[in-house]
Amino acid sequence: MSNIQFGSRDLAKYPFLTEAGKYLKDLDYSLDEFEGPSKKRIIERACERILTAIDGNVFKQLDDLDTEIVSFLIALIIVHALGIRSVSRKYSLGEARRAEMFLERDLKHESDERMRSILTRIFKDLFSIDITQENNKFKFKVSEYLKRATYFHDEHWKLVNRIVNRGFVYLDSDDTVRLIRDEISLYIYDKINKMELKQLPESIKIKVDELRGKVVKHVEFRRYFVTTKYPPCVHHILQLLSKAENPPHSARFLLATYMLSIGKSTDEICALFETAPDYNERVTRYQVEHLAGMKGSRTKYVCPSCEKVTSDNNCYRTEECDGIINPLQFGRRRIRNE
Amino acid sequence: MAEEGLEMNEQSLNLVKRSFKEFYFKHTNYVETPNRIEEREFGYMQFNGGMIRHLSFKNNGELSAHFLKHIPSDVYYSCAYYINPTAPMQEKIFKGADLIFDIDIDELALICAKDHEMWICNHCKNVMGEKQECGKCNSMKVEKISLTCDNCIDAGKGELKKLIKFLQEDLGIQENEIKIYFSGNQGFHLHIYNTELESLDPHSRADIADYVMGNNILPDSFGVRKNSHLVKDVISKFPNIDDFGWRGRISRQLMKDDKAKPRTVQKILKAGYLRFKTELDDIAREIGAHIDPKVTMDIHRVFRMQGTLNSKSGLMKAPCNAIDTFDPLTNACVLTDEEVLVNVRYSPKFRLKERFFGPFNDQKVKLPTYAAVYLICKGLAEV
Repeated sequence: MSNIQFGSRDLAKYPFLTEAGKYLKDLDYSLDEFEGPSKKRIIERACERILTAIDGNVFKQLDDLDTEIVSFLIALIIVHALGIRSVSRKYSLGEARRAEMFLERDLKHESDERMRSILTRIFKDLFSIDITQENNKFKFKVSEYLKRATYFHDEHWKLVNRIVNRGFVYLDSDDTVRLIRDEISLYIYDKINKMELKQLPESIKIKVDELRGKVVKHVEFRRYFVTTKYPPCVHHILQLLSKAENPPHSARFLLATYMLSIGKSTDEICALFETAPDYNERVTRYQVEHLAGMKGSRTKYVCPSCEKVTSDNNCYRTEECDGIINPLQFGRRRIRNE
Repeated sequence: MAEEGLEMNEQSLNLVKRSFKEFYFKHTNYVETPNRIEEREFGYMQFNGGMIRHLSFKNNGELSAHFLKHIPSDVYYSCAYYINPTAPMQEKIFKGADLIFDIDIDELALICAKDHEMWICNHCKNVMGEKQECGKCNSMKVEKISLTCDNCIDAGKGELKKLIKFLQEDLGIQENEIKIYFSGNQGFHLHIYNTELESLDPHSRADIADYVMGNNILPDSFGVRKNSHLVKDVISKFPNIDDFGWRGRISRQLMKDDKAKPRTVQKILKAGYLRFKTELDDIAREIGAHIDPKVTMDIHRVFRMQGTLNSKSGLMKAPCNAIDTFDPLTNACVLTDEEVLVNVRYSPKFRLKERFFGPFNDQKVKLPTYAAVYLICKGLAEV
């Protein structure tokens, strides 16, 4: 099982495996000389990968295997050079979803044993976890399972709804793939952050600038959209976040409870905090879920009154606020008027 | 961690303090130093009230010397390991924590409670049979008091056994990684020393607590879904009686053997998803372990130290090495036999060591120190 040979097709699907690095070395690509038409095609492909991920879609191409493998690496470099946290996250998640898609597909069509070996290998390579197989199930140590699955919200992932025996949790291949998708995403995100680049080739630099323009437009659009919908206090916090500034605790509380009250999902709310410099996905998720009454005391927190918002120095009242006593009323009036 | 106990008069306080002091002088060997002592935070409650926290000791000698000097009413240490145990909480830097469980006998809603449960007015110490405004001084500040009986102990042991089964059979925790203690008042503490589990965060610990309690078991895990489904599909997904974990446990409660599966599944499907969910909850309540989940998930808790006295009873947090033969009312009763005269406001019959005492009703009685301190700590007697 451990001697499994990865072909270029495997590596094009799972380019984050250590074998992909070795494969690239053999292809003799050097970043210093990344010019010429064939390289241009790879850079274009890398940009396609990034833009697809930013739009929330999965990059499905698997035509030219070498290009797919190298474009992944170039995309990492470009995303790192862009230095926009939300882009890094979206790109990492996009790549993880791509891997998830291939794993799910392959487990249905390819030789079962071979695919299971690939899954086992991904765990070993990426997360230094030894998983074993028993009766067509993957076996995880309880501690390894909990460290990952407690962040899934569906009750289905709770330990009590799992097959547990003698310190191991037993998962079928679909759940195993789902369990590692977030891990792959975090792994790629980590890889982007830890990259050290001295000098970028001109061909890549141009693309980075081009992409930055497109991405900023995307953010601008969201900001414009936001201004027509939210009360000024909430809008101000969103502005702070879009400038990657740290809003105070009381402001974060206001933002999260306001969004919960107007029916936003915890996923959507967590995404709003992504640009905060001190952003930590797990902590944010826990706190938002806590406010939503899904964690801890199970108390649902309500949006603070305008009086409280004012005393916390978070009020940016405008004429439009006329007469409201809670930021939630602003939204309701606007919706009625529109 | 305990709340502050009932106030007592000066003579009573002196007796309790003297007894605790004598215990700590004579029995330093009872105090069981936790492992990795230098990474733990220690704290103690003073007799005059107030909690001292953020202490650290290098070894058992240093720790014993400190407590001999200060004679605490209760001693605690962190279940967590820190880089800087004496720093304020946000600067301690968490390294890991023992996994702990607390079984509170008081929460088991036992039938014997009516025989030894009472309410005491914090203001005038009037003892009442039920929770109500104090009949003597009209104070609303009343506190529940309970004297542990043999039935309570048996029930607590029953929960312990259930918990240990989940921990060993399902979670794979080894016998030598589990240490059990009588809490010194009305419960049992279970400490787990396992390096893989010590790094778990509060969410994961909450998930483990839910597991041993059987909280939120989904009918979907048994192949029963909210929407329509084929009976044969459910039968194929329904667990056998010898399946692992909760699936097997529930299955064994629902049917005698696997042959009964089709009949059982048909019955479940006829009753519907919600009815089955309620049935699962009922079974889980019956066969799950009753623990306090807040204790398990709290990684920054300071927990009562083993081999120290509990000021709610004067009994010791005592190690329980063999559940069946362990008698906390004897093994944890470590104060002297020397007789003292106390005025008992009210007390039902109770046992400590091999002796039964009471019932008492507003009378002066001579009692061995351990029994006198027990009633004083419960707020039922005074010197």
